[in-house]
Amino acid sequence: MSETLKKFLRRFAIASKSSKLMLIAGILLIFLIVFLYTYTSFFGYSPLDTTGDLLSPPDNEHIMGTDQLGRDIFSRVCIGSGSSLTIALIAAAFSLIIGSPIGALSGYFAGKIDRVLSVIFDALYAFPGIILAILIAVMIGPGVTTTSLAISVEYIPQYFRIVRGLALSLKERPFVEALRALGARSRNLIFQHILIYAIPSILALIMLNMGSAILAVSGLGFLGLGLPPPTPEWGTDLGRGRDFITMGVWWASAFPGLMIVISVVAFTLIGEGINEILRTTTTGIKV
Amino acid sequence: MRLREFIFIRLLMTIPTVLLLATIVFVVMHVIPGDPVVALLGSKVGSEKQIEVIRHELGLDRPIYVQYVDYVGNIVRGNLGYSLVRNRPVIQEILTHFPATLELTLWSMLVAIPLGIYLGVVAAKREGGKTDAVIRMGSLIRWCIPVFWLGIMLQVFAVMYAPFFPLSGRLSAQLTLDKITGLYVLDSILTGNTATFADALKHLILPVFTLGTAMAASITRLARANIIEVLGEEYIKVTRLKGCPENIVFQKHALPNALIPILTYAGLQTAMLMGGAMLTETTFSWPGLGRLLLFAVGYRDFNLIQGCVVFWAVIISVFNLIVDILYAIIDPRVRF
Repeated sequence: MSETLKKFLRRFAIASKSSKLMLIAGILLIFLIVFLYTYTSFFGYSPLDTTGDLLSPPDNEHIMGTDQLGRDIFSRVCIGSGSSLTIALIAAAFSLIIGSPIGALSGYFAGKIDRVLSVIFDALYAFPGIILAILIAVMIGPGVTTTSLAISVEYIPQYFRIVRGLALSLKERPFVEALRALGARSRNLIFQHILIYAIPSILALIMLNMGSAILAVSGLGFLGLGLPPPTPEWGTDLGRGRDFITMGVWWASAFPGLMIVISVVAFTLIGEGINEILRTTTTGIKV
Repeated sequence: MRLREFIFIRLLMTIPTVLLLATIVFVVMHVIPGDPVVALLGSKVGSEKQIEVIRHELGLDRPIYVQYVDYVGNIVRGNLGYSLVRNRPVIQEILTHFPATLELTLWSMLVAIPLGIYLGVVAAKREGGKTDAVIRMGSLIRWCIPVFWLGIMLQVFAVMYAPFFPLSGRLSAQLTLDKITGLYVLDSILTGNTATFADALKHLILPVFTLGTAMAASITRLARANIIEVLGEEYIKVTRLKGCPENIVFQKHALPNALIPILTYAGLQTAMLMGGAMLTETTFSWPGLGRLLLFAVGYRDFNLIQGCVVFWAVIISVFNLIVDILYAIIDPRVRF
């Protein structure tokens, strides 16, 4: 574990400026989102309290205006990161837990099992994820767990592919052969030595998936299939605010969307940054 | 002869894909709780007996494996069943909504593919430079913007500053059009209807911009990465060393190779969109397959949902097939 981290830090030190910038900018944006969440939950308006001012434009008191029920949009937007990020995190974690061990086993043992598993995961990969998410959201009813599980189905094949590929190439490497000769069990080899190598690439994938999971969650919310009201959620709020755009009310849909973009950009930057750094070898040449 | 065999085998291979997708939908619909009959009745809460009668009529009281065999048999025979909510055969519903989706998809890809490849080429040629940085950041951010938000923001802009743009739909209510293909722009040209032609184009601008730039963003990223990769290959160095001018190295030797994976990607994305761009269609009230599917899901119209998904699966398989064949024609290394 520490070996992997050291190697990553060594690469980070010599990686190109742009990739470092991407990683750092992404992390800073995440800090900003977390800060806004904590700040608002202590000092801001409650995201559920209604005031008399319905759909009032942004002013000093409500810097992002109020929505159709007179709730402060700023605090709804800041608190809304809670549910989106939780769902995204559960979705990424779930697909990781399912996809990567199966990928490791499949790549390590190869043969018939590998071929069957590859076909199944390829079919799953081709399946449009949003349909499944919509079906599940409608049939079971929306909720944090169901929504995140529904979204995660789309990502499982990605972890499968990436870890399988790594396992396929790693198992031929001398250190694995040496360990096997020393009598290491397959189970230990896979979980202690092969999966460790996959950690940086998996981390990049988690970040990219969290970005697209936030998009998926807000998409479901926009379609009215998100978390039940009055929970603040960007997509749902945006969809509600949309009903008033012909009246010139832009703030009720503009700000929730802005927060979606900021958070998706944050995770994507981190993911891309890690990927860029991984492409840099220890001699500083990109591969 | 060999190409024909290849096509035949690939055609055979689409069958399991479609069946697998259809099975996934069947399992999801039947394993997940939620009674379709109760949902169908909605507010009209029927008595136990009424529900039993409807269940029997729909064949929902039969064992699940019987229902499955029946369902697969119908798909194989090309029978997608009857939509209970719309009170029409499913295939008719799909064919009514498909042209709208097709028109949106075609125009969007017509914008996205040239724009994406152009930006990717420009960025890759100036790798590491300022233009490259701008294009990279721009496409990354555009990729992160949800289509529905961009669409709504465009609508807000249209409401406040540019009433020229219609907010939703495919055609203004006062205009009429003889439908031939169902693609409104094409139909208005064929019938020589200039007023309708202008109106249909006007309705297309905002949705096509929204969806087209989303597709262009991912194509740009892919094109840039591919071109940079190809430019680093040995054979390009050899071509340069033998004194080939740089623009010919790029156009004749690097670009065609870099574009092959983009073709695959664009083909798959087109197929995905043809199943219905649900978010874009909802934003602009575009009467396509995406909205039909959402409607079906909302009313738990099993047959309609299954029909939409199977139709989608067929399109995806057909596009996969077309891309594979094109691949074989373009890339001489591919052996059937």
